[in-house]
Amino acid sequence: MKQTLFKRSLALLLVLVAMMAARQVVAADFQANVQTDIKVFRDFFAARFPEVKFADYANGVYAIDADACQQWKEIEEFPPYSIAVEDGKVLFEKPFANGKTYTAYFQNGGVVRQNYPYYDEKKGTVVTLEMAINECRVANGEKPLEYKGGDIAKISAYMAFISRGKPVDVKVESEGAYKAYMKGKEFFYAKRGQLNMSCAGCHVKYAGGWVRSEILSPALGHTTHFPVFRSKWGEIGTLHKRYGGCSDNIGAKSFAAQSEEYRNLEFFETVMSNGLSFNGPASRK
Amino acid sequence: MDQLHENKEKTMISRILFVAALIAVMLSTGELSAEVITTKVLIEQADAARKEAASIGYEWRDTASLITKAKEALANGQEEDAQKLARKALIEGQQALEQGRLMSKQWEIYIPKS
Repeated sequence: MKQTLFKRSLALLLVLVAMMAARQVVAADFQANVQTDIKVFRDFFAARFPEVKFADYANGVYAIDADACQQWKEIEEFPPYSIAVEDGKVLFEKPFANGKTYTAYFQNGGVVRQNYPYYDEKKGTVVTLEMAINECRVANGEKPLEYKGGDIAKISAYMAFISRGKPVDVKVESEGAYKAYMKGKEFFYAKRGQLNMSCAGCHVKYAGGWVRSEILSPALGHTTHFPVFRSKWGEIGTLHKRYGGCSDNIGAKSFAAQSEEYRNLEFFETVMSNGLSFNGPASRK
Repeated sequence: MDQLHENKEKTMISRILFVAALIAVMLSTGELSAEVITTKVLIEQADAARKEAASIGYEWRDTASLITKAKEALANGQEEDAQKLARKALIEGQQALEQGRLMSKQWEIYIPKS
């Protein structure tokens, strides 16, 4: 009797060990697959633009266009986003109706840009900085802000500004995170809309090429410098506002800002930029 | 057996006569022309294709507005314009759906090779 019990316990233990080992192998595979993707991505741009230093990809199109870069540097002497950053600081420090502020929700005085986006295991979804700002507001009894621009872009700009120089290091460590990453990856490479174009079509295959009077930016580093003050917008706007504009440009129906589709896309693009530094906000044409 | 065949034939003939009479009434009253039926069907087909493309994340930018314009044109009695808009919307919806189905199978071929 005792022998049977012992054998059964041993068998159960072996099964549990095997299951744990299998899980570890799968987790290791996620990381390995992502690292392979990152290498392929970087190698592509290193071959396309051999003269560009890796760190400079955080500057977007200005990394590959010397003339425009010179003009941009001059603009940066009196950056058009500075007012948005100042407004964002005021908004960030202003107490909610319950007396608390964003600092009670965001640690390190708001120097947290580098922690977003991340995959939240409990929620089972990707959380972005703008999404977290609204979660903070709702948790404190405030109404959520509109996602494309306005106050949320100003608060995000301030938080990006005080987080400048922090490294991009997005982890993909679980099955849920990997699924979100893969959805973002599929979105990035799949062609859409009347023009049958993809994110990768413009910003990988044709990166450095011309669209009318503009040079197409490389996808590597795309998410490091948002939110941005665009001359075209005349105000500061979020990454998802830009995503919506891109969808529109290729004749596809845009998704809502902070939709699962765009959050997964941001997750994938930011993973591809691991190793660069966050340097937002920025100014763009 | 012959009785059974005879009954079936009678039923069939009466159905055909009923449908023919119905169409004749509709056309004679002018309430529903053949062209309008086609446009309505086209609009419904276009909207169904649009919704199916949207369900897989591949709806195109202008399809919904084309359908809205087609409905407005039809309501205003501009049948020719309504037909053109509905046909364009249907083509967009079908192509978006085809694009989505194709991309879900082959998106990985666009990844740069190492």
